[in-house]
Amino acid sequence: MALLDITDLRVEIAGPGAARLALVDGLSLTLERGQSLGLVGESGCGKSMTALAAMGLLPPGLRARGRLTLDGEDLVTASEPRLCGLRGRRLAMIFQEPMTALNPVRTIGSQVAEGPRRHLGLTRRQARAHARAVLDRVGLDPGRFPPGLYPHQLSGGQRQRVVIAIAVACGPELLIADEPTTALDVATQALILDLINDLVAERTMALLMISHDLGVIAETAPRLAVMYAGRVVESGPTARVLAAPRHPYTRGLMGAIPRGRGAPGAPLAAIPGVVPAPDRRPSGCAFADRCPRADAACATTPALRPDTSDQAVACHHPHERPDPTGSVAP
Amino acid sequence: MREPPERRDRRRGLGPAGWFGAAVALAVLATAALSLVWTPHDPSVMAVAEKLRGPSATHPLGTDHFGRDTLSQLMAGARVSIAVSLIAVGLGAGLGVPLGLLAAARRGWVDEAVMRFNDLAFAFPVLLTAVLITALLGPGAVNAILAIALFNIPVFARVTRGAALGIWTRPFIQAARLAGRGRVRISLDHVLPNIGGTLIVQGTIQVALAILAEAGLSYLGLGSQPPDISWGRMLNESQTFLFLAPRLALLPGLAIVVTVLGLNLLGDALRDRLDPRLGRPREDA
Amino acid sequence: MAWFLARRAMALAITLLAASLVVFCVLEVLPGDPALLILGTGAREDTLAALRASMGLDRPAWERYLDWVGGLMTGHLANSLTYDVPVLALLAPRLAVSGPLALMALTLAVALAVPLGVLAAARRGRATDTAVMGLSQLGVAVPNFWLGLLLVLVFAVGLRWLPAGGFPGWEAGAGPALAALALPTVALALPQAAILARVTRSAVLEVLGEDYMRTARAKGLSHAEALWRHGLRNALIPVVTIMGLQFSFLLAGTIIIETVFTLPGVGRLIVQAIGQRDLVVVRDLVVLLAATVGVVNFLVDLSYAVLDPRLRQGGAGGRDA
Ligand SMILES: Nc1ncnc2c1ncn2[C@@H]1O[C@H](COP(=O)(O)OP(=O)(O)OP(=O)(O)O)[C@@H](O)[C@H]1O
Ligand code: SF4
Ligand SMILES: [Mg+2]
Repeated sequence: MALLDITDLRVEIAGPGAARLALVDGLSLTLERGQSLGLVGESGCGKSMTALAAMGLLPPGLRARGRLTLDGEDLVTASEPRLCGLRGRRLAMIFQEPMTALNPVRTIGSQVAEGPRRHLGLTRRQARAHARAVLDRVGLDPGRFPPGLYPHQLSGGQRQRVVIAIAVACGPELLIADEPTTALDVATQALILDLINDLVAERTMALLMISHDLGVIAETAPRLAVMYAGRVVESGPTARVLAAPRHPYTRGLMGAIPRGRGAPGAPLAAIPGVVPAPDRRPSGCAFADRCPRADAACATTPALRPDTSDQAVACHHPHERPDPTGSVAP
Repeated sequence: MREPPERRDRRRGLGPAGWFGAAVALAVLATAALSLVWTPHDPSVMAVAEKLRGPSATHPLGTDHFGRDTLSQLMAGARVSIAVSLIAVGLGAGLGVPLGLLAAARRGWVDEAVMRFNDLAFAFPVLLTAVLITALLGPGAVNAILAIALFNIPVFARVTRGAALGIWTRPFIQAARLAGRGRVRISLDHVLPNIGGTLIVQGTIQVALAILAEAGLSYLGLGSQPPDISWGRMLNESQTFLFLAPRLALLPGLAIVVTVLGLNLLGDALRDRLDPRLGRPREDA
Repeated sequence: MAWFLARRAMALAITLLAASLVVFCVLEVLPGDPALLILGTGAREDTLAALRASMGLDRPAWERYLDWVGGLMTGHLANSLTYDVPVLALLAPRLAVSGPLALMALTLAVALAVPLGVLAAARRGRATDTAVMGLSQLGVAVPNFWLGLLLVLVFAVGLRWLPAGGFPGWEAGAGPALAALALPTVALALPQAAILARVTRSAVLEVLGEDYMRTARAKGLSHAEALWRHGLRNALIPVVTIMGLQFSFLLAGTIIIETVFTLPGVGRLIVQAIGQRDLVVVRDLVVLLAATVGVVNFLVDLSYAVLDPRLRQGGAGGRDA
């Protein structure tokens, strides 16, 4: 059984009638135990909403529908107390904004200790020692960064380490990292990515790495899923998808991949136009108005179809698979 | 977090509470105006034979311990309460707004001086100011106006300064500066019109506070004096007969509560609508 | 932080100095001869002159001002004109009424307002929220002295549970004394609570949208736990600020509430002293009240430091990774 199994997830703005707007619109993906999966897509395509739906932490006014199971247990229908027992314990999340993700009026040590004390049944003293150890592990050695420090005494990169410490403190099976490096400078980005990779490897966590930066994904996840306008449009082994993208949108994204580490987060300029807002999506394929291959067939929504080589694509006119001899079709 | 859609267009119209507030404010104003030309009875004519009567056809709300008609007194009281409050707030705004504009336009030591004056004034609550003023000049409606106005100056100075500082950073002001316009001209031509909404909102709320303050002063015997009638005075006089005729204490109090409630609701609704700075409901979870 | 507090202390001292100067000047230009007031109009001119000399009224104004301020700071207050006892002796028993009254009212206001404000925010948009906000809108509009009259009507006249006014003194025991202060406390507290509840609600709503609340939830804290452990302290910062600003209204409220309930407190003393033109008492009390307001706001500044570590150590800034 897959560790995380999402089938036909919809995140809707709760409201009356059939006119409910779907921010995530029929998304499916699976993540095996101990594996890493990258989720890419332009800003606003619903990556964060997918992550928050998995955590059961959607903002007020939004609601998840569909199937979303962790180790077979449905998280959409789970009770709130049950979810509280899972969050932090079995699935955890790293947030995008280290500057605001920490409580300014509590010490970093106490913020890290809170989860272990709750989930691992530790005493106050044990939890404190545990927090020290975890902080040490994420690179904040207690000699230079005592647990009694407050967030404002740390830099952005150090705060993100604290956020990571909070997430991994109870040894979760699934770690969701929502653009963990976007707010950091280039040098720090690399350090934080390495840290996450190391932690995932040594604790055999599964990782859902969310980014709009294909470079980040290439570095952390052997598999990836490409999102567009609330759906997965292409998925498969990262190397294969990047070598031979079949969906026109993925092709566009590739054109926008930052060269090396030089220009992270550069806009995905290779694709003309912008992601349509959830209430402006064309019916049928949402990419149609930006797609060079669109035709009349694209007025119906294409399903995500796997091909024989573990790559899946949702497109009526996908690019050809490279033939076994290795030459890429035009 | 992005604004959930159900709140996006909440700044159209006044809303039911706002309209209620506006209706109450208008009704009180109309009553006060009407009392100038007509009241059911002369509010100050005593008829001891008729004293402490309950409601009847001739006296819909009964009479007080001198046999004066309570309804007529309430109407006349509205006039004094409203007049005192409006004049006091007007005076306070008349001095406070220019001070605030000046502080925002000049910054530097002028700003510092205005703000320190504010701190000083805030150290004296209205009642204390009123107490000092009555010690100086003796009790009376005029002195109550002075005291309430004094309290309003720093309030308006502070609000004006805050709002004006925001306007001064706008590009069109910088353009006017570059075009060589003086700070005073810019303050009057560009800043003032742009903070009008904020000031109207604050003014509404201050009038509500002033009505409460006037009532308090008159209740203590420091505000309007007989034969003038105000809601606070009525309460003051009613206390002796609290056991005999609780109605005399209830009615003026209710008049105050409804008026102040109405003005506050109106102020809140106006704030949502007019005031771009305070108005954005930053309450979205 | 130390620098911040030193600045605030300086500002407080200057404000108080200015306040004393204003009060002194105001009373200086006031018509009325204190000596005449004490001896009555029938007094002989030479007795009056002798009394003026003994009271120091013949000395220049600035000398008397310095004397007065010096006396205030060392606790040597002059004698009341009407009672001929030191103001301090007059004040002490009054403070024993007004002090507890103000403190109890403040405590009650906070005890009501903070939980209700938090509740309203947590139930935002639902019936509880509407009810709490409606009540607070009403509470803000009710004059405290009228509320006092209503309470007397219901609890003293109607139900006969509590006394309608007067104060038996603490000698009579804590029970009767507290019973006498119960209705005044409520009358003073409710309008304050109404304001504080509104402030608390919007402060909590603001905090609920913060990222760190989501982090707390992601650890497995329930909504209520996250609010209690991570939200409240952050939300209290604006609440405490407003509490400081409201305190001067609370003090002013005691003046009027003490009149409603005929309590022998500081507020009534002021009103009486004005009636009797006892300027010595008036000026001392006015400065005392201004000082109390100033000190409370200073304490508010101090409490920021307790609530918010960012103010404690003046900007250590982020260290490098
Ligand atoms: N509280 C909300 N109510 C309604 N719509 C929202 C809300 N929050 C976000 N949205 C909308 O949901 C869509 C998806 O947002 P989401 O945050 O998941 O995007 P994302 O892929 O994470 O983008 P980014 O790269 O900018 O983080 C966006 O169009 C956004 O405008
Ligand atoms: S389905 Fe049509 S519009 Fe959509 S990506 Fe494929 S070709 Fe383009
Ligand atoms: Mg996002």
